[in-house]
Amino acid sequence: MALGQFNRRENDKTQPKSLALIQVASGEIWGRTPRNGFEPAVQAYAGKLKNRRGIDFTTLIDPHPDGSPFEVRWYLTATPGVEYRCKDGEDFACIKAVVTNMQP
Amino acid sequence: MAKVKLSKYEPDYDITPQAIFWRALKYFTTMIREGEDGLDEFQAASFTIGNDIRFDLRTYAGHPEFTVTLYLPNDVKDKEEISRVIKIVIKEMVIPKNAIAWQRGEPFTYGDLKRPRGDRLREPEARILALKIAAQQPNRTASTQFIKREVPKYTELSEVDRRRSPSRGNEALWQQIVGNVISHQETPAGPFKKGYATRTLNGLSVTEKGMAYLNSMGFLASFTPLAE
Repeated sequence: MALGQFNRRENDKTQPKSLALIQVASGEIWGRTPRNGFEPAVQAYAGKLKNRRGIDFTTLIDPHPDGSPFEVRWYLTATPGVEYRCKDGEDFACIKAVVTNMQP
Repeated sequence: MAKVKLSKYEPDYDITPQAIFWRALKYFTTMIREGEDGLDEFQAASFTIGNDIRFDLRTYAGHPEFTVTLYLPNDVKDKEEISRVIKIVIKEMVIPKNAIAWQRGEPFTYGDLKRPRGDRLREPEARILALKIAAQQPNRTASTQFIKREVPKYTELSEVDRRRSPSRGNEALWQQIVGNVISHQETPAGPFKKGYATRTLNGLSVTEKGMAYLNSMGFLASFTPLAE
């Protein structure tokens, strides 16, 4: 059973239209190491997109408990269920998700 | 002496959200920077209190309007320490209790945070808000009318705020509250008796003492004493 709803808002740098297509097709959401962070993490807002473009998604992976009512993270090693990905020599955290493209 | 100091520098540490307030970021400070990270674009201000407390106030583009999240460094993990710091921030920035939407340790549901229906602007908060608004104007002076026009940019007016004033039928309750700040000159806790402002023909003017007070809660980056 999928957990509650999360979303990422469209923006040119970290959530462009092209990425949403990949996320829907792959059923995966990836995240880099946050600035000054200690490891890669997927970052998202909690809840559904409201009158905004981006992606809505659900996942079976519990977010890290250090989130807030508004935002969540899934850390590569600190959050159970998160998978490792590597692309062009860069490490990523990855969660499996059912993604709805709200930024066509 | 300034207790809450605005930091010129962006944090060189990762952050974790620890509390949320029902107010716009401009309510807390005039020095707001734009940024972006792996989550989204955001507006932020960084602060220190003493030698051991560092925190950010941020509103991300996907956050609800008129909310601000308090972030502490990732390495602040002890629950008692987090509570201690949140308490200090609330006290030193003079954040009213009804503005606290959530803080670490309180249960929550993702994506669900509702402002209490009875929340409204009260006079103690309106006093500080009037000072904050006037402090940013030329000669640190603003009319009551101007202050009233600006207040809704700092705090989201609730249903209770918008009700008709029982004593002034042509005004909403919140407008009467703001008007009272200026007209109740003899109130011991008011800005005039405290020396934070002087009365003008149609409003108030913030004094040096008032500016220092606002500075102490991190609202102003700095201020230059007006010429005599």
